[in-house]
Amino acid sequence: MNKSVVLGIVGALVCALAVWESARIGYARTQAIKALNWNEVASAERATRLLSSDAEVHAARGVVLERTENYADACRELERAIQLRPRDYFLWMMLGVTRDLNDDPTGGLAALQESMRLAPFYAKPRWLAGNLLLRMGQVDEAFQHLRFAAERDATLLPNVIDLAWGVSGNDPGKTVEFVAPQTDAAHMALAIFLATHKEGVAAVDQYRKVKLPPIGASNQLIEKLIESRFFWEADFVFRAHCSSCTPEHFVNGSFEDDVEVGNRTFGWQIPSDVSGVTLSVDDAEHADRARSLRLDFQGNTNPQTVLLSQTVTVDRGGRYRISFHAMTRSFVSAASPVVRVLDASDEKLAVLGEAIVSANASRWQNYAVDFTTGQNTQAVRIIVGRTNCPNNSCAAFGTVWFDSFSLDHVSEPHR
Amino acid sequence: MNLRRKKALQAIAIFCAFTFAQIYVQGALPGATPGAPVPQRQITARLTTRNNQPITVNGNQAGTGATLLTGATIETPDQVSGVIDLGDAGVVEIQPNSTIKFDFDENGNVRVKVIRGCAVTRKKTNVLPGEMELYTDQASEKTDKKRRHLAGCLLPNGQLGSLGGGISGATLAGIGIAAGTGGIIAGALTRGGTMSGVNPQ
Repeated sequence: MNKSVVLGIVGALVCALAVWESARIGYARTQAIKALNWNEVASAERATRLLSSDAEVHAARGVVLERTENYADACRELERAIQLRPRDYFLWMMLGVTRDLNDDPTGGLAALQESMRLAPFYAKPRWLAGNLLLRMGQVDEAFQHLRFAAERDATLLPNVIDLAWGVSGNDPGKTVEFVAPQTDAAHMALAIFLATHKEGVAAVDQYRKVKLPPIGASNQLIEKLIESRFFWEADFVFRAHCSSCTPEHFVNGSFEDDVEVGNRTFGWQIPSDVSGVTLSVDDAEHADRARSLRLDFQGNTNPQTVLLSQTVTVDRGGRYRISFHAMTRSFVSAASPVVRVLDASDEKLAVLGEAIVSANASRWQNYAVDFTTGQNTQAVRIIVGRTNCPNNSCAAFGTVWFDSFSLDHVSEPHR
Repeated sequence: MNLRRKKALQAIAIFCAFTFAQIYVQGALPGATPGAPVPQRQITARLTTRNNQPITVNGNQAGTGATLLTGATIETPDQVSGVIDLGDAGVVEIQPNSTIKFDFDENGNVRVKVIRGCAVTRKKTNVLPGEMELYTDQASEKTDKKRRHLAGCLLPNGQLGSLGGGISGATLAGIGIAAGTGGIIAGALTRGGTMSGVNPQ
């Protein structure tokens, strides 16, 4: 009997102790979480006092101290956490960052190296070590780590390319050396980056190394090359995805295919936000084949607005003719429809030629624009709009159709 | 020649040999330096963000520990500020919801263009000769011997806001702390279910 009572009392005491210990640990960790959520140093200190041999609470206090810019104490706290849990790469990584913030790059690098040793395939410690080495002037070693990080975490690749571009002094060749792309995605990302920075030739060099270029990224590259006025390079990329497309020709010149709103590459471009005009592909009226483009004017529209446009590559110093068909019905406006040819390679977009569409052409009529390209012209931009009017607010009513755009050499150009 | 004289001559010979060797070494070292390529140290800055939340550098996400180079454009989202440590040149702080473009050189010249929001510059005393400048398309403020800190916000008319008149270190610290606490709520950073997570990027 007495033995049972003793056993019961001992059991109860053990349970009470376990409950107390659980409550202590739970409370301490709750305090640590609270400290992390609100950056409360006091809560973090309370947690470490309650649970002095727990790596989690020491790490939490270290993080809170780091966030509140008490880097020296943060380092000590993280070192204590590492003593308790020495094989945690994350604690070493945090210590590396914090030591660097505490103006101890050498100590920071040592901690990051230990973090990399414990987690050799993780991107983040490599990324941080690469950045630290870069700031320490060890550029080649830095990019070894940065490249590895970008291979493991593709979201870091744009940052690595951007750093390589800056460190190389905006030299495309050196940038490629630093990045050393190995995958299609890396070549493509580098191509888009170089095109954005007006390095069209280097961009296409990278594009050529892509085995299976994705359409989305290719379109992005074409857009950037066109924006940077590398039209021939853009055309090269475009034709890789459009086997029927050839240089010096309109894409979808007879509107037999749908016109994509928001297109910013080659092919027809129509604005998404134009008011007072409705554009549609019409299969009831057409000059040849089966369809045409129909523009319905419903009142006030800005005559300066470009309603339709297409960029077409050409050769330098060549004589060309653009032909098209147009028809109007009940069209009334002081500003007539017009097709203009602009030099797309010229920053000022010089007008090379234009043809005004007759407002009273109730049957299909053939129009032509003859023009000569300049010595720097790589492409022309054909725009459909309206002629200028005195106060820029000429209302327009009625319908205009366009069809059968084509571009022809009048004489042999020379590249 | 007796033994004593012989030993003396040997000692003199060793001393002379040692001396010539020293002259040779000292003479050789300066000669080697001009031929050696001097590596050009890239001027860099270190980014720290509040609670290690990511901000945008040249259109890419970056966080604490990221390296910044001259010419970078930095954009902060709501409730996240960033500190750019330029070493001996000083510190640039970008406030939440702000965009800046900054340039710097090895002499400590730092130019911060405020494109949106607010920025603070803090120059380190007498370490580098350059000055820090905070500017917009319409206005410009520079540090000088009397004014080592600048702070300004872009106003709708393109001018720099009233903070540009120079503020104390205590005020700057207050701004920093306010920005820090502002970002805390958003900073629920965890690592794989444990609570010690922070997320340096």
